[in-house]
Amino acid sequence: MRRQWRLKTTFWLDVTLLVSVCVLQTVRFTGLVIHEWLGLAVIAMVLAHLLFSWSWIATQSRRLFARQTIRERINYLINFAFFFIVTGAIFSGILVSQKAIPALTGKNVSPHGMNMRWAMLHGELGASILLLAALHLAINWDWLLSAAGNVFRRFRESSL
Amino acid sequence: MKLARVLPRVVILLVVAAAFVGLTAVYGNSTNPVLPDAVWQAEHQHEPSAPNIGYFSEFVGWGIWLAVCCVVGRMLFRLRLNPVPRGEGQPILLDLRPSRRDSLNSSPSRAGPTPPIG
Repeated sequence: MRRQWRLKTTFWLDVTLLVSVCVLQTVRFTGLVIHEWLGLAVIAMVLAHLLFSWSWIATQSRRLFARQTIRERINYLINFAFFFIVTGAIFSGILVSQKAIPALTGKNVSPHGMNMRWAMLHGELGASILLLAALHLAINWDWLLSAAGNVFRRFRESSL
Repeated sequence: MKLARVLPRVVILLVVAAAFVGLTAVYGNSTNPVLPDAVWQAEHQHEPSAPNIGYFSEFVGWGIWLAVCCVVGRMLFRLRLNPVPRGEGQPILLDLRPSRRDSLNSSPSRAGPTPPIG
């Protein structure tokens, strides 16, 4: 029961993160307010995602210099880069924030005072996130399929 | 109990994230990229605050792009990371012939009941 709850939560959290990554790419669709608040919400989602995957992180970090398969090494590298890029994108996003951070700190920010260098870096990191998300999804595809099968099978069983 | 287990993990993740932020800050402050033209800058300075449903197709486009990258990555990983198992294409060995150790165990000097097969 508890295991099922955990699987369900992890699955829906991952789906939400995936949709958020796509939504965050298009500021014109969401508008700046939703973009920035969703970006801040992603911090909590990423933290939860990492905590749910803690056993994998701990095991693979301990075995970093031990004998591993190429798949395990590439998976670790992708996840490490993914975390790094997401952190960088959130940090640069906070630096160029015009709505959410000023609302939290109570400071007025003029759009003309925006640091264009950080805005550019934020855009570049955002594009890299999408690519890394795709690779992360590709390498964990089997898990996602089995989790989806499990979650929807239970859903169908409970609805009958 | 549970909080005591989760809290150190959160601290570790935050420390790693802080290190990444430091590295990003160093990189961001050290590089001097050529900024795009004034039109791009003006666009970024005046992004709309409210959502615009008319740009939903842009979101779909990013979704398709992610799916394409995922499929390419999947093909790449399947090809490069899942090598053909050694046993594939080889005849299945039933291992019915007794090994050297088995034949020693069942030698006349240590005669005993033969173990059942299977």
